[in-house]
Amino acid sequence: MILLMGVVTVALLLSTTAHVILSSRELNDMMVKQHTTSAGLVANSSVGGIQFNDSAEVERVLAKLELLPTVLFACVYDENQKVVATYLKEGADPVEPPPVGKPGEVFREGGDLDLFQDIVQEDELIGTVYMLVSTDELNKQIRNDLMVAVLAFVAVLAVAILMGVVLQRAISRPILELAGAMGEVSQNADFSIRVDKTSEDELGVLTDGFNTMLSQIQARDAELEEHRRNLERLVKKRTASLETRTEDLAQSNADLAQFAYVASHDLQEPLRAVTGFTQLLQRRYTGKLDEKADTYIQNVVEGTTRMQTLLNDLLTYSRVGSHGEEFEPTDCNEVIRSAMANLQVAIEERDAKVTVRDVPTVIGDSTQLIQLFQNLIGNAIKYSERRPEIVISSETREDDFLFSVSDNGIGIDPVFRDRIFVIFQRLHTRLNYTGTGIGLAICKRISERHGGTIWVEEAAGGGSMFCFTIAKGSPPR
Amino acid sequence: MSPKVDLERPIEILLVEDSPTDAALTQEAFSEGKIRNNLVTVVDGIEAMRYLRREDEYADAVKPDLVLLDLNLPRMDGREVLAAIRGDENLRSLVVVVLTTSTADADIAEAYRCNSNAYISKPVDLEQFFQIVRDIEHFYFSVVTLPRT
Repeated sequence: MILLMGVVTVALLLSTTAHVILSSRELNDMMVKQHTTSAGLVANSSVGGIQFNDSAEVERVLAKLELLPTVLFACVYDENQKVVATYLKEGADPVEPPPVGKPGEVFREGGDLDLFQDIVQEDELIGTVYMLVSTDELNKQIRNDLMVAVLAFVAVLAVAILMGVVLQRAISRPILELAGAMGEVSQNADFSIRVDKTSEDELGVLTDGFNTMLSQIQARDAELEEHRRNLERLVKKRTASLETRTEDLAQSNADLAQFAYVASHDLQEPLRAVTGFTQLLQRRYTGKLDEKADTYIQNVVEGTTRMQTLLNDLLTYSRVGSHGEEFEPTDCNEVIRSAMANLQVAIEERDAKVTVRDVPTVIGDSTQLIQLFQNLIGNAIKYSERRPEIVISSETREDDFLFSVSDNGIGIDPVFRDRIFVIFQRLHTRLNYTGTGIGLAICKRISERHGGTIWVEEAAGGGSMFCFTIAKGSPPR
Repeated sequence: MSPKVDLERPIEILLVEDSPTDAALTQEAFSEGKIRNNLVTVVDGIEAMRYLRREDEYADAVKPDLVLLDLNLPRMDGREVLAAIRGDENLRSLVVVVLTTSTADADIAEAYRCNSNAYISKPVDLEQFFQIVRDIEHFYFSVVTLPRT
C-alpha cells in the first residue's frame, strides 16, 4: 500500500513538475514573443523618424510603450549605434542604454529581459530597437502557477490517498484477510478457521465459498477419520478372528498328527493279534480242515496284511509334514546312493541299470529326499516289462533345482497324469503290480514341503519321466 | 554249533510286554524253538523290576539269560527299565534285547544310548517274526557266549 502511494506521489510530483516547467516556459515564450512583436512594431514605426532624423518622432513612438507596463526602458539606435531616442517607464530606475547587441532576447542576471530588434528598411539595416522588459509580472505569474500546481498536487495526493485507503478497506483488506486465512489453513492444516463476511458483493460470495469449502473439508476429514477408525476396528476384529482361526488350525493339526500316530500305533496292536493268530491258524490247520477253510483263512490273512500296510503308509504320509527334520545342505549323490541301497534287492532282481548324471547339493531333509528318490526309482523298476534302464539328471535354475527320473517302463496315459499323485489312487490292480498307491502321494508331499512341485511327462521311447523341483533355500513348511 | 549254555537247564527268558496277544504270539514262536526255554511274561516295567529284584511274590524267580523288552509299556516304559537295569549293580550285565513294533529312528537311538544289547523291530508278518525268533535263539544261544548266572 505504501509502495503504491509512494509511486503515486512520485508520479504526481513528476507530472506536476513537468507541468510547472512547461507552463512557465510557455509563459516565458509568450512574453518574449509579445515583446518581440512590440519591438517589431516600434521598429517599423521608427523607420520614418530615423530616416528623417526626427528623434522627436521616434520619441513619440517610444512613448507609446507606456501602454505596455512591463517595458521598463526602451531606446532606438541609428545605423551608427547612436541613441536616437529613449523611453523610461514612469517611476522606474534610470537605465543606461547598453551597447547594441544582436537581435534576440537575453535574460540579464537580475531577471529582466534585454531585447534587441533590427530596424530594416528595404533590406537595409538602418537602426536597432532596444527594450528592457521587466520579468516581475512573469515571475508573479509563474509563482501563481506553481502555487496552484502545488495545491493541486496536494489535493490530488490527498484524494488519491483517501481513495487508496477506502479501496483498501473495501477490497484489498478482505482479499488479503482471505489470503491470510488460506495461508493459515494450509500451514497449520487447521480447517476450523472461518472468515467473517463483511459485504454482500462478489467478495462476500468469495468469502462464503471459502467458508463452505473449509466446512466441506472438515466434514470430509471427519468422515475419513470415522472410516479410518472403522477400518482399524475391522482390521483388529479380522486379525483377532484370524489369530483364533490360526490357533484353531494349529490345534487341529496337532490333534490330527496325534490322531494319526495313535491310530497307527494303537490300531496296529489288535491288527497284529488278528494277523498273527490267523497266520498261526494257517500254520497249524492248513490241510487239516477242508479246502474252503484254507481259502478263507488265506483271504483273512491277506486282508489283514494289506490293512497293516495301508495303515503304515497312511502314517508315513501324515508324518511327511509333522515329523520332518530341519533343512540342511544335502548332497543328492549321497541321497540317491542311499535310496539305491534300500532298493538293492529289487535292483538285483530285475537287473536294473541306473545312470546318475550331475546332481547338486540342495537344502533339504535328507531322510525325506531319500524317500522321494526311493519311491521314484522303485516305481521305475516295478512298472517295467523289460530290463529297467533309469536315468537321473538335474538342472540348476534361477530359483530352484529341477530333477528328472526317466525310465523305459510301461508309461502313463496322459489322462491319468494328475490322478496318480492322489493318495491311494492306482492305475493297476494289486494282481498286476504290488503297491498301495501312496508312493507318489508321499513324493508330492515331500516336494511340496521343499517348496517345489512334481509332475510326469512322457519319456523319449515311451516310458515315463518324473520331474520335480526343489526350491533354493526355502524354509520348511 | 553247539549251544554254549548248560544243556541241563532250559534258557530263562523274561518277556516284558503289555499286550497279551503280542505276548501270546511271542510265546508261540519260542515254543516252537529247538532249544528248551522258559518264557516268563510280565506286563509292565514295574513288574519287570520287581521280578528281577525278586521282590515279594517273585522271591523264587530265576535270573533270566535274556530279557526281551518292549518299549511302550504302561506305568514304567522300556527306556526307564533299561536305565534301571543298567543302574543296578546286580542287574547291569543282563542281556537286554529291545523287541518292539516301533521303527522310529529316535527310539532306536535312545535304546542304544541306554545300552540295550540289541534292537529288533517286530515284522508284521508272522512267518517273518517266527524266523526272527529262530535267529535270536541261534545268535544268543549258539553264537554268543552269555554271562554265567
